[in-house]
Amino acid sequence: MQRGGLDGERTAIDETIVAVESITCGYGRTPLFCDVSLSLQAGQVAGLVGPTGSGKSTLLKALLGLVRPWQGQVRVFGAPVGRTVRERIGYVPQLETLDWRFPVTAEQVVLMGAYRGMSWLPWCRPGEREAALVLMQQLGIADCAQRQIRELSGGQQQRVFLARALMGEPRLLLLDEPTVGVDVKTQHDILHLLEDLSARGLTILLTTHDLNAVAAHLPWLICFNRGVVAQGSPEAVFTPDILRATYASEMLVFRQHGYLLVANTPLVYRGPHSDRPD
Amino acid sequence: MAFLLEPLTYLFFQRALLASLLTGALCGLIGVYIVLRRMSYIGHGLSHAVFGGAVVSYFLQLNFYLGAGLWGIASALLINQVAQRRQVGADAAIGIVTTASFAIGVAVISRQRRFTRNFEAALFGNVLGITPADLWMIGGVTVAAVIGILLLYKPLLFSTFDEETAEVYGVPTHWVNAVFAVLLAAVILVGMQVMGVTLIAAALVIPASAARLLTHRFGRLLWLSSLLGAAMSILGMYASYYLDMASGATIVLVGAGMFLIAWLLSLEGRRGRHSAP
Repeated sequence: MQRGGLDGERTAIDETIVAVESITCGYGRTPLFCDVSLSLQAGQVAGLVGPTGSGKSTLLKALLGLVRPWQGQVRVFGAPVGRTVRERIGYVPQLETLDWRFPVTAEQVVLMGAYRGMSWLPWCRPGEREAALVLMQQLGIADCAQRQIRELSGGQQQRVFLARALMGEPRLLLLDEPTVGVDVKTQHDILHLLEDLSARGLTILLTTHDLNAVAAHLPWLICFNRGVVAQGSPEAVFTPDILRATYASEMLVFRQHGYLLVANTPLVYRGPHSDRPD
Repeated sequence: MAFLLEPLTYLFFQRALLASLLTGALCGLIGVYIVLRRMSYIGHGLSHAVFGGAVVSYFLQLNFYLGAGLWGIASALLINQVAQRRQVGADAAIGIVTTASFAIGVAVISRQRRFTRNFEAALFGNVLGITPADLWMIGGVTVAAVIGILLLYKPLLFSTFDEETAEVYGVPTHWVNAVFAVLLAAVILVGMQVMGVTLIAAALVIPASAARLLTHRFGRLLWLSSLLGAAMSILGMYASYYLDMASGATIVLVGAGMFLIAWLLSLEGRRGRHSAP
């Protein structure tokens, strides 16, 4: 099998890949979330949804060992997160935080994902570039290989960073808001791609704000707001009560053409001169 | 041709030209990482910190490179360490460490007025006073920095681009940052002789910033910035000789002119792309 390809083998479905046991995390002296527990099985794809600042990204960082829990423990592949565990994790950070003017090409970014197996020489060996190109072809971004990352569309940028995460042939993929800043079609393309990867045995956890898209594509959702509010299938967790508890806001849940849809209830301004009826 | 060769008949100019050529190229190379890591202030601050070490080593009659070098490396590592703590931001950490170190130098000078003059050279550079020992030191740091950058090419690129993810993918970011800080301290130490404490930051920032306007390729940026750093130093030295101006200041002014040209070229390039059918 070519290194960096998408042709992974399907893993045993009952193997626990992620086990988070009563963890508390925070910054400074302020806890962000307390007593969080959850688990993911091999091949499972799950979406972590919740408002901004609810701790979703911090939870991903705890799974990566970038944030150390104050209490409790995180076990990935049955072991505490360390160097050997990280070798089997692919990570796509929030792309908003990157410097898009940075002088790197798409191919250079993808090659960063193979850092562990690379020589210390400043240049790449032919096999390394070939593996990156194969993966980029599979993700439909081979044409962009030599373009500077800012010159790419939002969907191409997401695919480049997904390719980087896949270069190390991970078994667990963590994505922080992979659907942000892209149009609706690209959102669905990305989620289809993740479904394909999941079908090949990859375990996937992603954070997102796009409730309708994840309801249509992901079989398991975790509603999170400084703790797990609820988890289950979209039908089970996307209820007005659970969404109110997660977002502290009223939301409408309805079905249209067989799809589960969530909509914000418009918040009416009730200032001193408002003449809107209740 | 005589215009170029005439200054070279003087040994002091030969040494000065070689020293400024090497330090210009070296600052251009290291400067790429300074600019991309948005650490422009660190070059400025670290040169001030090294000044404190230079004064103290002179006062204690220690070798300049040994005393100021150790002081500079300690300051660089301290800045690197403090900057990684969330409670104190990198800019504040650099400000605290470097100004305190600079203040030590000023305080010692104010108590020992007899060597005030030597430190004018440290503040504004004294490229004409370069000795063969200085040249060896500059050459050694140049070789070490180039080897260091080549060996750390991939981890430095990854951690400069996306430090947090680099750590996930196995880049020992703390070590990479520490080695880079030591390299930077060494470059500032030898660059101080040519540019002086007050102007070395410009030599670090100008070539890389100008080169960045001209290319979007990382590899090309490294050599173009080094080339611009070397060119700025050579042109500055000749201008300094013929216009009878301070060498450090002239090099910086030439660099500022080069940056302006690069900016105009980049504007022209952008306009050309937009008007293309």
